[in-house]
Amino acid sequence: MQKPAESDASVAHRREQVLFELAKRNKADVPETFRAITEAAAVALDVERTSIWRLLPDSNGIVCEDDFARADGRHTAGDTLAARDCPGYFSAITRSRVIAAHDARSDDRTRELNTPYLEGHGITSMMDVPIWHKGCLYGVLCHEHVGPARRWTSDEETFAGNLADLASLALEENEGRNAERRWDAVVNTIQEVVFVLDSAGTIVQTNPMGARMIERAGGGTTLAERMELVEFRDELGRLIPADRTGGRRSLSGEIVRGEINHLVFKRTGERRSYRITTAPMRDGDRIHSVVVVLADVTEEVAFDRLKREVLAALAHEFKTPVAVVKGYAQHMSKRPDTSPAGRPMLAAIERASNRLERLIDDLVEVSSISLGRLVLQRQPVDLTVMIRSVERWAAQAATRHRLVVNTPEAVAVSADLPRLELAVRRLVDNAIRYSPPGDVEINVATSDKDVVISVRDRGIGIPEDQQSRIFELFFRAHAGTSHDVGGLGIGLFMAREITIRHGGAMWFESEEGRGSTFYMRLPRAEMP
Amino acid sequence: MKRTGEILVVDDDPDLREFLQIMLTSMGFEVISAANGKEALDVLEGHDPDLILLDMKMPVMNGWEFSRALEARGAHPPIVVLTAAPDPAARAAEVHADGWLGKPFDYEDLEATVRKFAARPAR
Repeated sequence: MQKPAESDASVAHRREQVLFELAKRNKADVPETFRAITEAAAVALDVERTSIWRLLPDSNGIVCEDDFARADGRHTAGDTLAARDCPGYFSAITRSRVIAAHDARSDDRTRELNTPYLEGHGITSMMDVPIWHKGCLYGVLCHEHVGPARRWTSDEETFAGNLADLASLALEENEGRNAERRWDAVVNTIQEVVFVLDSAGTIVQTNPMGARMIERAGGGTTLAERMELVEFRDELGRLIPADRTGGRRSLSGEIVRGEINHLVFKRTGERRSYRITTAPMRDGDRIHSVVVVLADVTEEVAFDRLKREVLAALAHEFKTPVAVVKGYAQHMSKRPDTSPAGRPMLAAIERASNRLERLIDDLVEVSSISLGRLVLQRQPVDLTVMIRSVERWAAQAATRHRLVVNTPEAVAVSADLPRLELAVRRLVDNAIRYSPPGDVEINVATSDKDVVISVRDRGIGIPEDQQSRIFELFFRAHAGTSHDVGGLGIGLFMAREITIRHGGAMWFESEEGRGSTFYMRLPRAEMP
Repeated sequence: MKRTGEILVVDDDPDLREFLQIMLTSMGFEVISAANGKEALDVLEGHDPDLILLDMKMPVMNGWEFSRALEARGAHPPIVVLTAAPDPAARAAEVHADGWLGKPFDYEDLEATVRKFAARPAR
């Protein structure tokens, strides 16, 4: 019973104070918070014993996490209660907000606890409040009254409910902190450099790899410092200005995915290559920071360069002897003193050399895909300039075909110029290879949004049953036929892939024996 | 411009040099040859060809070094680069060449390119 000297108002005020004190403490330490809750509950509700029990994982019992006995002020723990001994109680705690048993020995929900628990402790009245955590029953907060039976008031029930909620909150905060700790462990273990930049580009958080990088640079926490100490270069070795680094681009909302940056640490002159990924972090519409992840790919880049150099050298070494073989075959087939029986043989030698040549070209082209990825370096370019370059190339590479070009005055696209030119050249090259000497047409048509480049030949065309597979890697429509000019079957695959990476599309129309037209559609851009 | 009908072939591959010699001779040109840039510079002491067919990758002195040395001397004959590189036009631009032939080249392409720069000598 409450002390008569204390008014209801002052009791209510005291309980509010208790809740306030509990609410403002750091609850991430769960056992500590549980002890504070049981102590506060015992005093504020004037009960002999208060305890918090946790449901066992298989729900077949509860175990005491903290038991506070007010008489001696001691905390104990470890008691257990099996569900099979008191099914009514276990059923009640899953269904009720508060189990207020005024007479614990006769109440259906608690009388199973009678012996030896209630008797042993002299408990007459009980008020138990389930503690929920993430939609599951975590356990129960118990208030046990000793002495004459007691009628729990609704204020007391509400207060006990509030204490149970604080216990839930403690569990939640602890979980949040555990998740944070786990996340920190991940970020601190990975081999990538992780930076969090604020809106000014200053590094506000990093991991040990990042700390090592800052050390290597000799500082560079702020953007200005960084630009002094580190030189950023793109995949092609061009200097990246301060406002075009990945971090800065993400501050204006862009997500940068896996671009290769070469960093030169000016203090030591050391160069390293990184695959950089950056993303903005938003609070509503506002970008408050940017996460930057750098994977050191120095060795891969060096290997990639080696691979390309080896292939280039190989191509060179292959092509010179092929030039001799092909040249003599062509020359001899033109000489009047070559025997008629020898002519088909010379023609076969020439065809074989052409096939070898094509294979070598394909090998070099495959090797040009850096690090197994096609990362584009796009900027606005005038497409007609590129078409003229293709025209010059074709004029040199194919003297028996005439390239007829129709382009508008100027039209801009956002493109990785060398790669896009490679794709268009591939279409022209195919048109030349699969058509008899004559005209090959390049047309450039524009609409408001798009530009469509078409390459048309009047050659052998693509058999209808092969058309659906024409863009597949390693597919060669004319393999094994008299039209087979060799190669690995990667040209159209690459051309289409490059087009798609530019946000465009590629398709074709073809009729066997009449020729093919390949189309490349690209989105227009603002003029550079 | 005076045309001598003479072409200088610079390539480290003896078979290719011999092949070009036969081809170009059959087209009616005079051919002189060198196995690398350094030899070519020596040859140029006593010759003023209409055209230089220049391989890029060569021992002793490669095509890049040769063309730089040539530019340093002042006016020089036009250069057509012979290259196996995937982007022959870029190679040609690097050394300010007047044209290029990708290896392996067609007989017709060789003849058409060479005729742009060299004339058959009047005999």
